[in-house]
Amino acid sequence: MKKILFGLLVIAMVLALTACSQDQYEQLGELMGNMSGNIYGIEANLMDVENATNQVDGAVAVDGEGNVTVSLEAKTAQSIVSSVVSVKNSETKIEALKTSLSEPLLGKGATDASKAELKAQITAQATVSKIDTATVAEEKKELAESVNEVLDAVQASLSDNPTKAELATVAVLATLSDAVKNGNEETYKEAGKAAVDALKITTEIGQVDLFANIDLTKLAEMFTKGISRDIARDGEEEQDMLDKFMPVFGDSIPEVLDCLTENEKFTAQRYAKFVMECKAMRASYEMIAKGYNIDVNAQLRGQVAVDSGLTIEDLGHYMIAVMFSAFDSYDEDDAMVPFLELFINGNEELPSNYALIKEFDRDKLPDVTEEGSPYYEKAQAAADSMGANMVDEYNPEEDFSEFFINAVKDSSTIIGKKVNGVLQTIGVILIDSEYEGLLDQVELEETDSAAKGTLMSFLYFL
Amino acid sequence: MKKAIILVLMVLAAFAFVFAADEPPVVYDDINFAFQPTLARYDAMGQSGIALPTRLDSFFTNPANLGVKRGFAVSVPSFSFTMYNIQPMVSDPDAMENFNALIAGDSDAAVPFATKYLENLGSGRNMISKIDIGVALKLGVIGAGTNVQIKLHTLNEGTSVASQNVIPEVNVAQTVGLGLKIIDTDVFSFSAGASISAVYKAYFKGIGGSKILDLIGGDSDPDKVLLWDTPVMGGYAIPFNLGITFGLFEDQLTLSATANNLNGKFYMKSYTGAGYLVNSYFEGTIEVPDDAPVARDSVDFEVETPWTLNFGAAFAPKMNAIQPVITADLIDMFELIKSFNQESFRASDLLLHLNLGAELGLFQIVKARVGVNRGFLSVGAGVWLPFAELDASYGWQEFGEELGDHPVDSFTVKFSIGYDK
Repeated sequence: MKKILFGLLVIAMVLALTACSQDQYEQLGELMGNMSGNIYGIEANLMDVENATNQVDGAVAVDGEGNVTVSLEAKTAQSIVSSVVSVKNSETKIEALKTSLSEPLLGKGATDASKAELKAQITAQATVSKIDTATVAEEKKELAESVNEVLDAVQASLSDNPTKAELATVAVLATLSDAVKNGNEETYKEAGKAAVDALKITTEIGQVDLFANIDLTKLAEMFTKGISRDIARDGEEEQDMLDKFMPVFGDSIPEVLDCLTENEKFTAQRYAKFVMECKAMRASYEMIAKGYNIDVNAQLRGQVAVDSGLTIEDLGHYMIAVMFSAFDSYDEDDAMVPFLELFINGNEELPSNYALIKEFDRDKLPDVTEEGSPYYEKAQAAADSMGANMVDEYNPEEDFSEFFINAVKDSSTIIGKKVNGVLQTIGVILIDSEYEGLLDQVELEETDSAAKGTLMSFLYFL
Repeated sequence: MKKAIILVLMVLAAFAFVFAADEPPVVYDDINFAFQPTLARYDAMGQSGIALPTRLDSFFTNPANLGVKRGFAVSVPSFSFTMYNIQPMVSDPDAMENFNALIAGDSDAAVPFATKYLENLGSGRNMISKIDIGVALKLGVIGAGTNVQIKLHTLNEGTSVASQNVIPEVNVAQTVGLGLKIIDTDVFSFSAGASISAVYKAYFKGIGGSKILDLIGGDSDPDKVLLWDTPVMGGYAIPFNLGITFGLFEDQLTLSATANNLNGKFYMKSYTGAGYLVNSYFEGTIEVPDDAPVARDSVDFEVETPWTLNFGAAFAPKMNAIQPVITADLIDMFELIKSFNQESFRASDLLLHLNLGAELGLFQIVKARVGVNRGFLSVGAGVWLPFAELDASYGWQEFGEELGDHPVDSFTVKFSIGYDK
């Protein structure tokens, strides 16, 4: 079958193309490409884009004296999210909407006072959307806390001249809040999916595609060809794991750098914005997973039908979201920002590492773990900040993998709840994207649970 | 004892009921599964020409053409091959390097070439290729044709190769048509016709990009994947076409209207694998291997395919040395009329339902063609050889939801052995 198909392919290509030089191929490609445009000169119908932009603009009112009011009741927020999601199937409309939403909410003549008032109003709307965890049902508390955590992060994330995209993102959060207050497991799936689809357009994390340049054959090899299940973190095995991991994702990881920087400079505001977006994305995916409300073992036994339209790219978004939201949750001393600022921007004595990070060559990047490194002090402060807050949940003397496996088994602990929630969400994404086979690749002992299998695969993935 | 046996049987039956599982149907709303044989001349002329009666295969689009131009024509067989997404590959130096290596016999270049091809398919729906093998006969006012068609669709709900799915589709169709010239004068003629097809269709559940690469790289057994490991949906439909044609000036100017793919609902069943589908019709044809998945129960479901209302005009003056032809079709008029009431309707949308084509023949031996298909250019050529015809076409069409989202190019070659003048 393969030979027949390829034979036909070769015949067709040979018929289509005479033996050409590379230059001739390029010329031919250019000629063919010239035929790809619409000769009538008709442009795409962007009425949906205009409608979505108008919905966002409609939430902000400026009176004759320059006073700003922002209104994001449930109905308004829902209209904004629906209108943004309506363009999701058209690449042309998505790009046009992103361009439109990147504009500031206030016009060019706006004063600094108006901009500050707009920022305060948006923050106030976010605060109003918060959920009173004392009054929600027990089963909703976890979701309510994660949504509140995002809403708390809004103020620090806003730029000095808030854009339409930022307001649209807050509207998405308002719909998540409404879903928790008034919804149930059935509506969680729909609300969470709408939020994910909208955030992919309105946020920068939504545009980071971890799988864009993925080498599919290397990904398949990573999970299917006799990988040792030993995930001990000492030198040689860690090197092997990272050497397998890096070629798979290629150029995708440095895309995250652009979310943290402006004009190649890291800023605290960009970091706060990115963290807020990560939290929003994470809360949305976990809301979808909550809609299925089953345990990981049941998922892996194929007893659950998952049909939320999630793809393997969603796993990439979720992994980044979990990583950065977890960093921020544990970093109560806010030590990550000074470290990143030094590492990316440099200072009077140290050069900027922006270009090296973009290139993502592990051999050229400076080491931050050696005591003699100029970055060591700030890196250690960040590690200590996170470690100090993790110590209630994680004993550094304990083997890392055993710690997570025990957390899986006991979901009554704080870390147990978190780990099982993440695993459930990963399981839902993998099943929906029909990659649940990845979960079968890890060698398990007979007494190991399927949940442990998910965990082992997830740890390999990281 | 008897009661105990009955009890055990009842319990076993109950468990069998609990454990028996259905094969869930798979439906792809983004793919139009309507059947139409490959028409290279029609494609080269911007997919226009329903009013043009001068070829054997024209009765597939407008059965009234059987009445306009009666006579004898046969094609035994015709073979066509269409390849999509050629331009992105030709423009990519790495892809062409792998292509040259493949032609030179380096089989290691197959997987990198295929990977690059899958990357270029992008997101949403697309196609890889289409193969059509058919026989057709026109005898007086009756036409008949049998076609076997294989299509490779793709559907990517994400953005990367990792979420790409390839969906093979097979169609076997038998078409019969009748056209009558009801009014025939020197100035004016009126013909009407109908054709009906019996179509059996089977399509696979999407096969993931990584699995496709495994197949190409020889890491998976194609028989196992295609016969047993991939669910298949199979079923039939009996669609029919109606057409009328007005002819002026000895049918040198013709105006037509057609309703195509009426009654286009497919009655489908789900199967655990293609092997089980074949064995359900021809018991025991394919031996089931020991490691094949257990067959689940088939589920009945339906797949709707849209009908279209089309108008066309063709001007083909009867000349000796050169034979010019001009065609213009207004396609999918029912959808256009529905869109008049929508807020998003624009006057320019009318142009998006207009297909134009032109052909210039030389002594009826060599033909050059050009067309515009909803604003996208197409070109083609045809050569008449003794008892054979070779047609080729290249053009673009929109696969995305909105204009400019996802234009895709395709190249078609059709070779027919027979007589068709």
